[in-house]
Amino acid sequence: MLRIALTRSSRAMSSTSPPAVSESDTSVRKIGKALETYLKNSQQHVAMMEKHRADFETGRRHLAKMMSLDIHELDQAAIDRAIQYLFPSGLTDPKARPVMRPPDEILPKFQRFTFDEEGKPEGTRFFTLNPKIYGLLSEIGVKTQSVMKFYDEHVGSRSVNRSDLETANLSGSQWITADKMKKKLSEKFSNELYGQVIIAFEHLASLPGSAIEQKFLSEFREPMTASTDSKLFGLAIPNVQTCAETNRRYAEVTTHCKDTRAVVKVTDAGKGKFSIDGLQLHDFRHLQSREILLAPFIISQTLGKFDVTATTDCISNSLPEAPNREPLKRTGGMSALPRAVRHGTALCIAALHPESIEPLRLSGLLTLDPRKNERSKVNQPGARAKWIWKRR
Amino acid sequence: MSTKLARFAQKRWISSTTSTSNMYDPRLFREPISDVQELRKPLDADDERNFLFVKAMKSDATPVFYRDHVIDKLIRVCTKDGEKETSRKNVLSALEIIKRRQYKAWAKATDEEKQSIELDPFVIARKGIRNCHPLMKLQGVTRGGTTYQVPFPIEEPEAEFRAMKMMRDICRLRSKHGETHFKDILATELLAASQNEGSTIQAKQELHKTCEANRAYAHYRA
Repeated sequence: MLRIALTRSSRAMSSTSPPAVSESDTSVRKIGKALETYLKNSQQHVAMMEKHRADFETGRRHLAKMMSLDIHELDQAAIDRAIQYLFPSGLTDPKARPVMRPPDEILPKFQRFTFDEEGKPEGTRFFTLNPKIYGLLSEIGVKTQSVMKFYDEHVGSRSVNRSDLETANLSGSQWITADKMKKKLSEKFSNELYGQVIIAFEHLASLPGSAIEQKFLSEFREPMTASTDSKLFGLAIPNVQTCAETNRRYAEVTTHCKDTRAVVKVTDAGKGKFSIDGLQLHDFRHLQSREILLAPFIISQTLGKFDVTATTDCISNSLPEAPNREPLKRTGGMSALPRAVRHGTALCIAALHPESIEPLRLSGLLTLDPRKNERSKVNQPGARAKWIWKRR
Repeated sequence: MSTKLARFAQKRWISSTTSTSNMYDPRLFREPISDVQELRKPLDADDERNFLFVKAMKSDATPVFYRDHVIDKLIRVCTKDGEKETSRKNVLSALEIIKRRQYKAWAKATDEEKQSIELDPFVIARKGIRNCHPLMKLQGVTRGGTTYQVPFPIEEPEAEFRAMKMMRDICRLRSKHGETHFKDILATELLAASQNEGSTIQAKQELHKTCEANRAYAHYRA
């Protein structure tokens, strides 16, 4: 069977192994099949990683030579740039493009266990095959018990804060997805186990008094709007640029409302002039259209301080012919174009006048309106309308 | 089985909020603030708008200084075939007519009477609509194949709507092509209603009478 050599190697692999058994102990040990496989895999993994690291270093040196850079200058950003230059890829999915990264970052991680002197795995949950997730489940269970006990003991008493006896505040956030939880615990587990964890979490969060475990719960939650960096739905606030000729600051953004697209440019130090395809504010005959156009200025209290220039691809029938442009497509109602321009203007004002970002956001002017005309359905007169039913 | 359970465990399925086919995901979007005064105040720390998206501002909610809840609602109620701009023109010209009439009366009046004449048409319109608010509504309830007109209590916004609707229907009945105009009749109606007179007030009282007569059906309210 396997001799001490293997035990020694297992010790070398485990990160927190206790001091070794004396070298003189040469007795033959029986080692289980699972551990044997584990040790073999572990050795193989270490060897493979060594090889890949060496390969990566060699590759890096070659790349530095090819790009005529010093090896010290070639950091990860420089590598990415070089790869993009050498292997230009038209593939849309970033995962499908060629990469060159340190093997520790991209190769699958090897899950390591710690062993005691006798070569038995430490931790009672080793043989569950999912020690981390079962650990989390039992932790949730313990916390659930303690929350229930805490509530029973303190309900109606004045010794604790009343806010502690309420349910945890989870508004605006959601449980982290299975993939993120796998990454967080660095362990693979089935969807079924994930489902059980979420059910356990939901139960804990629904208990009165779970506010005391708020911190623990929020570790496993993420904000719902995390997909965008800012709290804005749609476009981000554009960058401020400076016009070389007039030396005035301006911001430019392309936006849309329904199917009307608009490129809006707002210039600082203006007089409150509008030029939408050459049309001015008074060319919009509907009062509501004018209100919409002026809304960002009313909210940010900057009436008459900025100039707005916008170009679109279509204007509504009620508007006069745009000067200096070939005839535009005549579609859209009376509010689509002003609303598109309003969104663009608000974003540009937020860039030029940062104090007004919060009022603009709360009034909903920085939100891209996601609503659209619903398509009409086959065999129906409209999107929702139905033909009148007739027997014959 | 496992995929089913995982799908069940997704927030969407456990969450108690109903998700409809709304472009604004109800879990992510909250209503905007359209009042300028309120926007200046700092937001509460636990307000959901601190970390969620805010819906886009509505087209007719721009906080201009002449924004008036009652007039805006009256314009919406009087709109026909989606022609809001026509309806706005009608209502605003009715207000202008009120202003002219009141000013004429004011100019003729003696000094004591001048005190009692209200010149602001917005105030008159608000008061007129307020006077027309019904206290109850009649709603058909079918029991045993017979439909009974059962009186129901109503909330403030619905009372406001029903007052406007009664007034609008009366004005539409009376306005004839080319002879009489909606705006003139609406102006007369609003002025009369602000004095607790006129056909809308009569219609309201009629409704109250019917409600009183049908009170025996009140137990059909389910």
